[in-house]
Amino acid sequence: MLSRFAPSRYYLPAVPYVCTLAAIAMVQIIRMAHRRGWVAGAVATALCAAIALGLAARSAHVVHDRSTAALSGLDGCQYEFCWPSGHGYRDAARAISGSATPDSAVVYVVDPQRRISLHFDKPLPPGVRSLGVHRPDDAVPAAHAGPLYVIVDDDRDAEPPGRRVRQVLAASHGLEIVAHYPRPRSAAGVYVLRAP
Amino acid sequence: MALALVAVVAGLFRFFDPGRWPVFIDEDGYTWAAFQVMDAPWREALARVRDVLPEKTPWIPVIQGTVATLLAIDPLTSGRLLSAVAGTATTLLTFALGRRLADSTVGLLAATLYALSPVAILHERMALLDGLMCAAVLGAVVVGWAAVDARCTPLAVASALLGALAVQFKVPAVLTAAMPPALFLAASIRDRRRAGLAAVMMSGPVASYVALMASPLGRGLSDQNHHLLDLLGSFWPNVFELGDALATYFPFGLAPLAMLGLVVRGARCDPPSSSRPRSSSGVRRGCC
Repeated sequence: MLSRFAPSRYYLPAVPYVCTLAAIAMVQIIRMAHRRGWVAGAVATALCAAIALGLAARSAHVVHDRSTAALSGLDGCQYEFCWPSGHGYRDAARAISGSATPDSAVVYVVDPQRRISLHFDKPLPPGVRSLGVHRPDDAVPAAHAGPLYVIVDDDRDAEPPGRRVRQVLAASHGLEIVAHYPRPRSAAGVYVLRAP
Repeated sequence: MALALVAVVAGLFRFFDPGRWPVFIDEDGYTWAAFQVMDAPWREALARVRDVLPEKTPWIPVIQGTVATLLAIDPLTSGRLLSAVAGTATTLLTFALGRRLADSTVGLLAATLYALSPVAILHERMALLDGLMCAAVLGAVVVGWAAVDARCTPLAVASALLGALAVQFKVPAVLTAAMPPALFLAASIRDRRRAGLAAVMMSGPVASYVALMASPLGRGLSDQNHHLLDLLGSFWPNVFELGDALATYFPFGLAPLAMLGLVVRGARCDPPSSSRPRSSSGVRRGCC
């Protein structure tokens, strides 16, 4: 509560206590219901089982497809729909790994904190060179002889989406967009450009 | 047997396909730091983590990188698996917490709810600091409670070490230091032995915090605290976010049930001490 912002992960240490207190109430209700007869006891037990099953269904949805699962507003923004989520980067890195020929080179015009998302911890395919991280208003290196790929992401505020990729296209002739990986519920995302 | 089944369910939700989700920005930072320390000697590894993550404690990325090297897996998977291990451990500790607060039935149900909790699963499938910190904090509480109950010094030391570890994982865990006095006050305020044990338990997180802040890491951590601290300036937005999170992650009336559980537990008012006199039926007497 004293923090500038408080996403749900900050409260994670409280979750075992909330679960335990809810369990105390559920067991108390079941025991009281059983004292009123087996039918009441069975109904109370079934209701508690339904709560657990409902929780399991929600969690299964989170694991299977987080982008359509029920998340709090701030978590939905952080993990799925806004710039921190990381959607699109791995797709862009995989697209280049899958299609770049050995004489290709890659330029990154991205948030410099995006390194694992772009597989900087893994080698590029044999013969493919990285030309490093560039600023959007710098012209991409024209001296490279083979195919040149450029990965561009949207700004953190993503307003308007595509602003940075238009900057790159304006600064360097001959590039064209070959893939766009938008975040869920957003036009902003990651682009792959190619020249020639 | 039932608890083992709950642990398996907790593990299934947390370990299933760890590469499935995109890389959240914080995961990217921790994992890049972990990648830097892979195959590096210890001192160099620590220096590299400090360069990459100047505002965080370095231990989890160091562990993450070491595990990745040992298991020959990529550092992102390593970080996510560590969180999953911590989440499964927290599920078992939640059983212990429920048993201490009530009985084994409550413990089992509490562990089941934690195993299936969407908010826990959400964060214990990502390479973040929170899952490991949560396990260490809850471990300190459960072990500390046992120490006060049994008047056992080795358990108090173990609780202190777990509290110290939690602070090394994430600095706000220093609040764990408030737990031993609370347990001591609830158990018996006149019991000198328990007061001593509470002091031992408190010393862990407090000494860990002081050591961190006095170390070369202290400046970066202070910057981070300064950056995040906004004394009540974001109070209402944070209250709104908390309400939203409670409604989303504790559906089907679980949040009101937790409030009811607090009332039920408060009405019973058992102190956290197994040495309280028991009635002839063996049931613990309340203090009310």
